[in-house]
Amino acid sequence: MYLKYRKLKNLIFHFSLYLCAALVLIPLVLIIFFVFKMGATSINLDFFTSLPKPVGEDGGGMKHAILGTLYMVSIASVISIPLGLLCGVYLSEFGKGKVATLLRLTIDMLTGVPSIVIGIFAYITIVVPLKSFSAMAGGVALSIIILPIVCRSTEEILKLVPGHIREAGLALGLPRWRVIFNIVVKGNLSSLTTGVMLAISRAAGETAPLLFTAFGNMYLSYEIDEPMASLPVQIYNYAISPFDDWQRQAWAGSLVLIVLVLGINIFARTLISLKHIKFRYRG
Amino acid sequence: MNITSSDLREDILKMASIVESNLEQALRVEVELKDVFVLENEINKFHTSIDDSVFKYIALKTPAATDLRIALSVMKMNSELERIGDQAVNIKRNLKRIAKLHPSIDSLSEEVKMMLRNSIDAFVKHDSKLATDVIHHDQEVNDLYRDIMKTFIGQIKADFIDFDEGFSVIRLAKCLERIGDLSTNIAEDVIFLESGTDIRHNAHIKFGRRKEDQVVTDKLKDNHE
Amino acid sequence: MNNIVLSVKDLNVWYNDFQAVKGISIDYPEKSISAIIGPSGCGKSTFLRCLNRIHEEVPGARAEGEILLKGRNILGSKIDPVQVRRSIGMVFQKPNPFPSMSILENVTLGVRLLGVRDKSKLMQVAEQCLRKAALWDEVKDKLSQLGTSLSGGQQQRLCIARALAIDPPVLLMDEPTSALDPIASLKIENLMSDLKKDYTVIVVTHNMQQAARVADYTSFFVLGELIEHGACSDIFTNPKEQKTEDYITGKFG
Repeated sequence: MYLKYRKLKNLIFHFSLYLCAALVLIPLVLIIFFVFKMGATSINLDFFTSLPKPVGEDGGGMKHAILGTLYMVSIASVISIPLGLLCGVYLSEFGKGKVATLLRLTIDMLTGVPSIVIGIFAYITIVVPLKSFSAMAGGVALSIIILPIVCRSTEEILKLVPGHIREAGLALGLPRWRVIFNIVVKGNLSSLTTGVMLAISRAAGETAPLLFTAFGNMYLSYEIDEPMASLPVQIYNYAISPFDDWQRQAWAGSLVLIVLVLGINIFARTLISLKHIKFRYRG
Repeated sequence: MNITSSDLREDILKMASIVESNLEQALRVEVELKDVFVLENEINKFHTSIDDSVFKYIALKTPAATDLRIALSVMKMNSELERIGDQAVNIKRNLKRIAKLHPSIDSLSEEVKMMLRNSIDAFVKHDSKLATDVIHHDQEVNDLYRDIMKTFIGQIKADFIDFDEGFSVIRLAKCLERIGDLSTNIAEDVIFLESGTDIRHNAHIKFGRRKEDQVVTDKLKDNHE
Repeated sequence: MNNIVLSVKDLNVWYNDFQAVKGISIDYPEKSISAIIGPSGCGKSTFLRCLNRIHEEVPGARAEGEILLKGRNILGSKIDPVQVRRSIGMVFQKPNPFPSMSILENVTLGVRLLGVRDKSKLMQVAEQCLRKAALWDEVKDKLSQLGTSLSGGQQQRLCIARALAIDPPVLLMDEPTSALDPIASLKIENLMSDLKKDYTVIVVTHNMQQAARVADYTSFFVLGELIEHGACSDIFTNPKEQKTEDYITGKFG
């Protein structure tokens, strides 16, 4: 009798856990489903290779926005990846004093700042003094998004390296910087790359910081001091427009963006699972 | 400090060869007592050094299985061999008191020398069967000794020989018989070393699980019946 | 034979306010194996870690006294710990090959970062050290595989080879076999006896029998104090101190 009751309880708990998991999955599945359903019909080669047609004319594409996103994400990466990595190394290898505590707090807060606020910050500090929306401002805004993620993921990954690995390096008579870069960092390069890629994929999908910084552009631009289009902003602009064709293109843009972000994510996570840190330190 | 079980084997063999030649020398009429004492001294040195080696070997290496049996056997053989050395001195002393040759003593001493040699050979060759033969042989030596004792007591009583002469012969024979016993003990140690079975005092208990043990116990049974 | 390589004089070590090692003096003769035994928390690992100043990795650790390596005090404030560690290698409790590095890279990392670039020279060092660590035959066909792909015992021998690569006269081992199975441990023990020909080995061990088997000298620590130091054959057969006797017979600790 008791056994039956216990088994029943077990069944109920199991069922509710599966239910919760399913509930979490539903939004993601629905989003992907809708984006694919709506976007797949409007996507074609033209979408990737041509610029927008004038209002009223059908066709055209988002070449400028795709390139713009890549361009600005690159600017953001160049700024924040070295900084974030070094900062993360500092926190994991030396992060004991008051400075480190303060830094850690700052970075945590930076992670929590709403992206629109970051956009406004870049607007005030770059756009206003230079009197122009610019790709530069967009890149800086994105870099502020990336920085804390890279920094914290670096710190967390390097903290997983057991202390005796460092001691083994020191015991070989290596200076500390050698131990950090040749053993700790180099040994975990693939995990660090993964962290960086996750941060980049996050930045690629941001709209808010770009609204007041890169602003958007209907033409192809490679100039760092001029407004530049980006996928999220372009999608936003097209989606709120009254034209059917633009709305269709917004769906197509969403599809491209989602595939890009998901692609980076999946690739990054595959890297993690291929070379899992804990697995590599088994005794 | 690096003692191995083969070091122990080597040491005990060196000692055994000295003991053997000591017995040989003791039984030769022309050899003086002091020459026997020279060898006896050697033996005593081995006696202490081997005990010390075994002690340290057990303390430091915590031997197991065969290594442990080697250590224990070597330790036991060590004291048997030392006593054989002592008996050799006694033999020399008694031999000096004997005026003429007695063939029965010669045959007893040949038997005993063979027993000693075989027991050591059995150790060298890991040969339990040879060791069993040695144990088997002890009965014959005992019989020979008893015969000698009977004969010479008879002769003393009948005044055929001088009392001192007869008594010395009997004591000499006793020493040889003791060496036979000690060789038997060595053979038993060898059987313990090779098979892990202690066959002392319980020759009639038949629990031999291995072939070799069976041979030993069977032979012993035959012997006693 | 009896040249003193390493001489510790009145060594005291503190972790903040806690004194872990109390006034220990020991001389280590050249080309010998010395073991340090004692119950957990007796300061034996701390003591060992001072000998190549790796104790400085622990915040709040402070050592006073003298450690003379061939007459030079390595605890001196003007001495660079990095230099000290090139003369005094260390093997740790857990096998710790460097992550994402091949067997070859693991062994040669020390010499490579000290400036040796020549490929054939590096290869030569690797073979020599792997041979000394009795690992060459097992890995010679897979030198480019990850060091972490080896078994635990092999990993530990790899770590020994790695430490030997910079050719330190003194090798410290901090419970080198406590994470290994008995057969792998035995291999390491045999290896230690071989290393004695060229190196001075100081080993901390929880395993008294291991100390008895491999060491020439043994020190017994309790609560940061040296209770007894002497030849292994004396300590394990006839210790002078009652505490040592109780410990090695399992009555205490």
